[in-house]
Amino acid sequence: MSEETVLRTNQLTKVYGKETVVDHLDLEVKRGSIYGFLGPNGAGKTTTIRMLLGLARPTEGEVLIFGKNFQEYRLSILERVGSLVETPSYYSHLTGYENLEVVRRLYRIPEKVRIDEVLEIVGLTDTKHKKVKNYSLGMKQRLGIATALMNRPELLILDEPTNGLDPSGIQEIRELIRQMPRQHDVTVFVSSHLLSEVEQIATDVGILHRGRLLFQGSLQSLRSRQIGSLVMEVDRPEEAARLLRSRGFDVIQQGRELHVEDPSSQKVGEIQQLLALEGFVIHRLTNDQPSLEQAFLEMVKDEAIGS
Amino acid sequence: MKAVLSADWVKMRRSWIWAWILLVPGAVLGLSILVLWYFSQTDTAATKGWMVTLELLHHLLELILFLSVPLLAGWLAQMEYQSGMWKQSLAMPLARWKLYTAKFLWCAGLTQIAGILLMFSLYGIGRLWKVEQAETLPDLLIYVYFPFFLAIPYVALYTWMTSVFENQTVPISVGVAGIFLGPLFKGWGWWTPWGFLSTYMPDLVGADPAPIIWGMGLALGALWFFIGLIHFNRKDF
Repeated sequence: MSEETVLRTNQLTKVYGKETVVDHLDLEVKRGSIYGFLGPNGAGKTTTIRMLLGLARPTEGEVLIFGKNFQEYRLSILERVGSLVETPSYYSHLTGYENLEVVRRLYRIPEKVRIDEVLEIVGLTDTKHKKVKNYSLGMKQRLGIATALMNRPELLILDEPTNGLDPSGIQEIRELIRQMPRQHDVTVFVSSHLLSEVEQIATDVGILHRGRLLFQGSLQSLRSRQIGSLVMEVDRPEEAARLLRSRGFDVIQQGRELHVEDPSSQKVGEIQQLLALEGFVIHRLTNDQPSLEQAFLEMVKDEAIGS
Repeated sequence: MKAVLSADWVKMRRSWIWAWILLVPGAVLGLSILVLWYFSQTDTAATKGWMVTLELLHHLLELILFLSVPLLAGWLAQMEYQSGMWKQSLAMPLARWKLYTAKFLWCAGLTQIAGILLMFSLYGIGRLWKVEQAETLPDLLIYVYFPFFLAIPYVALYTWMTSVFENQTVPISVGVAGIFLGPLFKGWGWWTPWGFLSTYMPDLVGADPAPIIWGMGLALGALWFFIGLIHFNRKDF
């Protein structure tokens, strides 16, 4: 996977009246990645996406896509970007095929066969002559993704593509997104307010809260950031705590339990050995690792997320 | 530009927009036939019925235009807003002015088509009913079609309003207010979209409109079109 940056924002800011909705954002999306843009509702995700696509003007800062300034090269950049901005996005009085025909004309794509190609990718070939108002929500959403794929984009920007879908619909869209980089060589930027969602498809994560970027990096590095603690139950907790403290360990005693914050596996071994040598009986030894969800909630503390 | 116009064409398939084009002339025509038939029953000369028809038209046409233009523009814009496609289209590699201009051209074009249809169908009715003094086509061009031309600044204003307001009840409400604004602006307010229509509405006995009025119609239409276009271009969606 190349490390080339497809999308970058420099100090991107949007102010409405007195409220700063997006606050000096520095996003970086690498080619071939699936970037999960995560944040609670109202964090500024949609506003950011609207600026990435030129629907709204940044108050400050700039957007660079494919290394070019968006304001300057809007049309040539958008030629290579596919998007799903608002859901639903379709003309309900037309059939699935006709909807894509509208899009084909707007993109000035000469060959009609492209419509059948994208219908195939999203699995709507059988229902292409049905009116969209008779589609299920999942089918409508897949049609939206077909729309976004019409111009063979290199970058796909999707705003909450699984919003309102049932579990099987979510699964379908998830699969569709997951195959994008591998099968179609498309980099995906996808926003969501559900961590579990992002966790399952993304390679990189950006966490937005109140317009600020709290974290950006690979999903792995987000996982490794989690601070766990070692929990022990020993027969003489006071004495054990005293012993461990004298050897430089940071120990907190809670009743019969001893907690050691963020121990490396080497330290866990040392602690065990030390206690055994001094004749302590260890009843229980567990590693208390908070879930990613907890880590995320910790980051955005006072905002309720998920639904 | 052709791409956007043709994409709009596909969208209008199976929509009520075509019904509108036929409804306006159709309704007026139905009324005319009713009047002519009524007068023929009372043994009056067909000319009398014809005159009453034209008189009625004079009063109705202004009202019909004030109400139906916002409706047509509203439909065209609603199609985009309701479906979330405005934003989708704006995120495509298309100049914003093209999207806006296509909406204006369709709205203005369809209005003119409705006017021309009405003109020809009234002419046809006059012939069929064998009205002796039935107006010639050039007469009807001024009397029947010309109001539709006068509505062009009004069309431009409504293309603007319906494109920038997501909530279509705002432009529709202002459209209803047109019924009062038209008479209010008559004369002194000739330069407003409402006043332009009510001031220069052709009279049965009046002379042909001066060529300058045709020019003014186009100029005022262009003015409102560009004001709307500039706003649309700068707006956040």
